[in-house]
Amino acid sequence: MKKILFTLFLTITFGVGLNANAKTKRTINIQEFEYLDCMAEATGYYNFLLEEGVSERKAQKRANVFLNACLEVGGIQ
Amino acid sequence: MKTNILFFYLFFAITFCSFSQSNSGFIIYGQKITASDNNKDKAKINSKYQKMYTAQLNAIRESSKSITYTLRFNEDECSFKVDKNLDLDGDEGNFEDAALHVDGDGERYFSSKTNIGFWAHNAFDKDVVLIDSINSASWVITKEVKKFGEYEVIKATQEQLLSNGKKNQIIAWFAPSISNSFGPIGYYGLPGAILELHGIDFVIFAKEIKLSSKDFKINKNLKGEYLNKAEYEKFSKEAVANSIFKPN
Repeated sequence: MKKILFTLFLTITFGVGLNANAKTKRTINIQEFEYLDCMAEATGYYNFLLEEGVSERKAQKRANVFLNACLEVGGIQ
Repeated sequence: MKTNILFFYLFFAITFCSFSQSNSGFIIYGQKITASDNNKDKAKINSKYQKMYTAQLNAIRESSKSITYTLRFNEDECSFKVDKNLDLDGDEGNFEDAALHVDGDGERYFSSKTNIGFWAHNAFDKDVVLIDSINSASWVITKEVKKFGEYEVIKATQEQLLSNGKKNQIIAWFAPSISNSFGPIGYYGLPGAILELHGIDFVIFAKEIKLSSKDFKINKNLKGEYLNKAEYEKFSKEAVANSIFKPN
């Protein structure tokens, strides 16, 4: 009986732990993906601005504004 | 006797006029975004970056409606900076972007005696003061004249080199009757104050002109690290190299 209870305890504890860990990892992956996605778009936008003749100083600020707005809404919509 | 009286009268009239002539004052400028879809290339217009650009430009266009700058000047010096707008209600970001769009951010100082200008502003997260010498010869004064309110203004042009290597023409309308050679956003050196300035996609125009016989004090102690043009370019290059955004 004790053995069964102990096995059950271990199963539940590790099960919950592993599940939580997986969830955290998934969240980090989504955030990482959103960041990379937004960053790629912001960099593309930055280069577009340079091609349009916008100075590097202004292009940096504008691409940054875009990056922050993109991250705020959770990635490219 | 009559001649003496006439000379006496003339002497006083001329003296009085020359003393009362104003060499100080201030001009309040407004700004308008004039850009439309000037890209004739359809593929470009439909590109997502063009859409982002248009969206940002529309926000800047709105904020530009409430933005004003003040140019304060005495006989030899002037300062130029954006006025604080107290009715922004959370729109500060777009307001700053609107000023940034025309290089109207920060504070400027210019002396017509030395032809040296200072521009204190934030570049790549650092407060710097760009020291620039002004070349009046770069202006081409045309014969075109128009009325700007009560002032007669003359058209002058200057070539501007954009960062993509293309050229743009800056158009300034200046009033010779305001003899100070000052203007907005770092454009100086014409034989009269600039009342209207056309950039690539914007216009800066005088909304209020007030001349005074008082000698205005102009602030020339600007905050930031002073850099000449070569130092500024070096600093910008390094900042771009260390930035999260890299040019292609």
